[in-house]
Amino acid sequence: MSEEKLKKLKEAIINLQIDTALKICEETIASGIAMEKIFDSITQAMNIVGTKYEAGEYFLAELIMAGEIVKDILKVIEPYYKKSERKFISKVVLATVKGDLHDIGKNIVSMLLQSAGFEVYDLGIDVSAEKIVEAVKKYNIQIVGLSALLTTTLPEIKNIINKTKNIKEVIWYY
Amino acid sequence: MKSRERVINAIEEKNLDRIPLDIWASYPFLMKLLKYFGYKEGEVHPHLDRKGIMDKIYKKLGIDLRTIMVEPPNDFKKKAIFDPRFHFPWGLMVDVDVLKDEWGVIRELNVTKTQSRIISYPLKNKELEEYDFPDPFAEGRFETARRMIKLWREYAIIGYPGGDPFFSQLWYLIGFSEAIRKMYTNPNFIRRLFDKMLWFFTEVSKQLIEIGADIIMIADDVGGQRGMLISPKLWRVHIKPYLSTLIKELKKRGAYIMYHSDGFIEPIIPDLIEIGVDILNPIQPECMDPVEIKRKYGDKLVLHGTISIQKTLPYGNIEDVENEVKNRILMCGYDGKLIISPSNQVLVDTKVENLLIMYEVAKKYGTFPLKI
Repeated sequence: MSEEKLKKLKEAIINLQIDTALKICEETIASGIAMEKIFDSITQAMNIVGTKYEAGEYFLAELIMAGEIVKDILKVIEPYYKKSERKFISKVVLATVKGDLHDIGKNIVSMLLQSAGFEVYDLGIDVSAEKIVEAVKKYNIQIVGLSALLTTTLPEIKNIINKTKNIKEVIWYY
Repeated sequence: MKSRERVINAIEEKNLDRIPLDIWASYPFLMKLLKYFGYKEGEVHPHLDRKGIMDKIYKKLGIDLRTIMVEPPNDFKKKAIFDPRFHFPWGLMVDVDVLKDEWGVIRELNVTKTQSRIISYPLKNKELEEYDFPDPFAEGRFETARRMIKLWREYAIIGYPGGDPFFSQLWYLIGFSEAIRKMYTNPNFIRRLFDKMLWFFTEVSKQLIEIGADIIMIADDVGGQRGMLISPKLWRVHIKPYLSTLIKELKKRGAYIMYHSDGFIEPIIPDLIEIGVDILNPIQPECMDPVEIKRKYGDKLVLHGTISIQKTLPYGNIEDVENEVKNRILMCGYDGKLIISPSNQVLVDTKVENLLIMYEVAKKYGTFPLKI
């Protein structure tokens, strides 16, 4: 029964049916199912959405719509679990570097990482190197994701790497 | 041959002496260009250009097009400031480096003061009825346009309607995620908003044509670096019908249509041709191969742009720029249906020399009969 519901939840996310997804989510919670299982379903659904994007079947709009659904589902789930109970794979800081305002790609990375089980600290756009360094130290970050889409702002990534390379172990991804 | 005739002949497939040229540049780059030609920063306002200095430089480069824009009405401008560092330069000052435009969209400059971004969307979480839509007939919208056009009789005139229907304007008003969400969950809201937008942009564009615009530019970014931002299906359901009606109304009045979208938009190019687009801009070579686009659609469209602003202009040397321009002339401009221009805004990291060589080579090798 509950397996059936989780499957339906997954399908609703994949097919971008927000109302159906939220309704099933509430029913699933009411049936007393473990929260971890709901998170697993979300992750699986988002993996399929991602695959569809890579295959050219889905576009950026569909990724964002799926993200919106997940965001709403998380709002429904929130009262039923403590954040500390959720096991995260790793901690990630995301930012669009100083001088750059592009955030569509960064927001999608943020959403996909969250649904894949990472704890994400999104610092937003136009973020100075100092603020990024501060966040890395403050939250004990393992991964930093940087976005820069202009030829004029790309050098800022190098600047940030130079400023943070002495902070213990940071794995880079950008 | 006068510039205007050159551009119109390129569109009409008539004889022309050389491939027409245009420019797209960011404000910081324009400042650099002015400095290069010996003007002091602040001495010239590249957008208002009261002294006609930008015009002189453009003339020197051989640029065949000039752009007139719809501006906010007088009662707005009385309270507003003009800050060319912003994408929409007229606005009410909300704070230092923060402007609210006529639509109620609030933008803030980034820390390097080179780009502006939206920090408040006027229609987000609001009903359409609560929103005061701009009036296309309000007095004072064409003051600068009328003044400039008198000086620009010899050029082909692009009219820019002061906003970006339909997808871009939608997310300026309600936010990007919300725009997509509404397309999926509340198509009725989208239709009602687009009805209003259609009315506004049709009416202001009609006035631009009356004043003397030869071409109306519709700028609606729906392309990303590798793929479209929204699916062609979603675009065909929500955007295409409105774009089609807008274009039909403007073509009825004798204007040519230039359509701009950043990035990759190949799936909808046949649709754009079908609904009457004459000029496609900017065909960024990193996103769509201009030669391929020319081969597939070149008999039905004038390509505008095509010169790399992500690689060649900022990183290339003079020889790289020369080779790229020659390649475009040979592969995309052999029949004259090409307007050479940077394939989007030239940013401040591009050397002025690279841009100048682009125009030099384009004039030298783009003259008919071609000698490459």
